[in-house]
Amino acid sequence: MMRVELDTAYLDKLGRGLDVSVVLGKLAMDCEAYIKLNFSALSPSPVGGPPGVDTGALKNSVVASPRGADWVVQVGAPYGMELEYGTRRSGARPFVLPAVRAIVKNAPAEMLKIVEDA
Amino acid sequence: MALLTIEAGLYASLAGGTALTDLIGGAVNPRIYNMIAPNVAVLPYVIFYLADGQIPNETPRQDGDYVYRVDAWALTRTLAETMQKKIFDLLDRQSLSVAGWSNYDSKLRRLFSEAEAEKGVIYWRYTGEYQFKLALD
Repeated sequence: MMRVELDTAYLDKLGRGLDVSVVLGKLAMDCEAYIKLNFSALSPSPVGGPPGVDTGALKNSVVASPRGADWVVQVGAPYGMELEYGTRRSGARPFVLPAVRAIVKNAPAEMLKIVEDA
Repeated sequence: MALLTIEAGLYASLAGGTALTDLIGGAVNPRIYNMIAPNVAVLPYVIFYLADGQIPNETPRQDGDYVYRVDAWALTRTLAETMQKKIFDLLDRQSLSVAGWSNYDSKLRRLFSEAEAEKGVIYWRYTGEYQFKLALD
């Protein structure tokens, strides 16, 4: 007979030590990575999907950075908003909202709790 | 998950509200478009599109979690806002009729407005992000 005992005390200690800004930084950087990894291979890209890469200016302008105690994922290219939400004459190519929802959905519950409790 | 079925349900909900359709061309041919309006479309009109869709796969039952953006476009901010209020009445905490699926949650998640200028004309948009959760019957 074999007996396996899991002692999670060390893991629990690690979890307790997580600072909210560390968690926010991890979520923000994951969000930046998700956006950058999910650009369309087509340029121009089909309406409804993420934008394509032409010069790379939009992709390179997506940056996660700390702002005080918070973290911000900023899309620096001036046409980023037009792509995310579309305009009267061009359809939307959402690329930020899917990233935010995917990252929050897949984040460990313990991390989200740290953010909620802060 | 049949997206077109959801979008048909969403269209039916929007087109079924006379308070909204009275503002956008009437109940017979309301100016409600998916993704993008035709070049010849006359303002005011409504555009809806899928902004994000997730398949949670957390239960044995097939389910889906969707965010649709519904844009109200008009030549005045007041009208765009009025249209969005009508859209809110039709979608928030109301069930979409989607064949084979139960829509167990519908909520407005976010609102924003913006203006677009073109050749001296200001075009107003009032957008609502609506989340719909559905499960297979």
